[in-house]
Amino acid sequence: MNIQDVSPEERGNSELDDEELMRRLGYRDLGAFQALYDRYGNLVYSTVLRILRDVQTAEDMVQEIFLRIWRKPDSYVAQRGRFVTWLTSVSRNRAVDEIRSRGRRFRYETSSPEEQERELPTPEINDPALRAELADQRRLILAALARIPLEQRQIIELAYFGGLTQQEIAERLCQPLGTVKTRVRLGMQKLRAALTPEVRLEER
Amino acid sequence: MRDSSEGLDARCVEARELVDAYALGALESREAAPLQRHVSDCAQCREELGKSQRTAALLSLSVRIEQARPRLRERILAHAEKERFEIPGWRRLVPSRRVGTRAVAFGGVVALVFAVFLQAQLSNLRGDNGQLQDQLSAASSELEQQRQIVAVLSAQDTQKVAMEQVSLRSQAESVYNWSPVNDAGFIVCRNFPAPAPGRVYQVWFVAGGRAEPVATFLPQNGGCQIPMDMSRMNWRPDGIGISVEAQGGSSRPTRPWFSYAWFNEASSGGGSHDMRMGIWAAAIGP
Repeated sequence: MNIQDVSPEERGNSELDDEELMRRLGYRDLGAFQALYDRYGNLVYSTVLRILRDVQTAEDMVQEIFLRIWRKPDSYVAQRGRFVTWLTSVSRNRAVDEIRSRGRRFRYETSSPEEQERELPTPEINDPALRAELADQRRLILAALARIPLEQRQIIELAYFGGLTQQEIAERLCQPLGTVKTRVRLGMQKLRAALTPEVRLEER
Repeated sequence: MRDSSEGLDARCVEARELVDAYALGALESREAAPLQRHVSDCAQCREELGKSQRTAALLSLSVRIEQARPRLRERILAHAEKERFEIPGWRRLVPSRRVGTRAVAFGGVVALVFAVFLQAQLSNLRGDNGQLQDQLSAASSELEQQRQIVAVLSAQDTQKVAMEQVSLRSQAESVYNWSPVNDAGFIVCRNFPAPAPGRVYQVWFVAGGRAEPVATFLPQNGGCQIPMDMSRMNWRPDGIGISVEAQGGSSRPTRPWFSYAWFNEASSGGGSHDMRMGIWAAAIGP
């Protein structure tokens, strides 16, 4: 499809906020869909790629996620939180479902927040303001993660990005289940405390 | 954790120990189901779970941004273009709060006009003799159903969940709307295939391993509007399912779900796959 196929009024969609774009999807506004993809396509791709570790599978999943939104825009309820965190949560959950259904053939490895920080900045998002906002948030979240003891951070990442349950983490790390549970709670408490302003931002 | 558990009853203490793991999707389904039931009744624990889920959701924003190949964009937009007019927007069928008050008002007016029409029909029927008793009863029932739908549509707290269709080949779509204030909800559906002779669709509320029958229906031209009065229910369902059953309905689901929805899936920080499978297991039963 060429950009010329989109009507002039639809081309102005890039200036609309996420909620308005989602509302327009209900009216089959292809320009709104295109604007959403341009805004978040790379973020969704990066989220599922981190979990799946396979470019082809990640691309197929990005397609599935965006077309699902196109088909059922009502699945997003604005009152429950910001669109971007809903979208990345949906992407994460779908990717985790995929690795679970494949019997965990994928191997998940964690890298330290410091290593990830060194990889900055690479965002290729069209909107400069959004790019700056997401980059700032990423730095804050990585900084919060860096303040958590390694053993707690590792378990949080294995659960969230590896799709492992506490029981599976205990087996994989050869740790008592009680230890894993305690580290999940302590790590999340510290993360929540460090990210209080960001967590409040998510509230509607 | 010790400080935050002071003054809480035992179930809340237990729930608080699980909310973080649940938000990360790290609970086994057998642990998640009791937590789901508890937070549906406990506002404080629900709030704690919400904070954990919002924290976990932020983790997604920590990923390093990779550049997807341009051809992926072209592929997705081409698919969307192809489907553009194949899937009518749900809003034309079911106004939601996000559409704005005008659309909600329109939906309410349409349903009200229909209710008035039915009321007139009812009055006419009352003027006739007893041979019209069946029609009177049917019209009265439809009128009550429309009143329930109007109540849900016009409520400020109306929520909606698009139900999953199990068959990938099916064109069927269904949405569950409900209003906690009105203790009422309804399902709208479209493109539902006619069931085999002697069979009907049956709607179920589900929680844990329990499934309660709600209503049976046959789609009209593929569509349906099934109202549900929940005012007499003394338990809170975790999900809703539709299965195909023998005419007259069954006391428990005997076939796999045709479609279903898990109410907390959208807001769940994880475990959705397990939850869905849990409902499936409840449907097909041991």
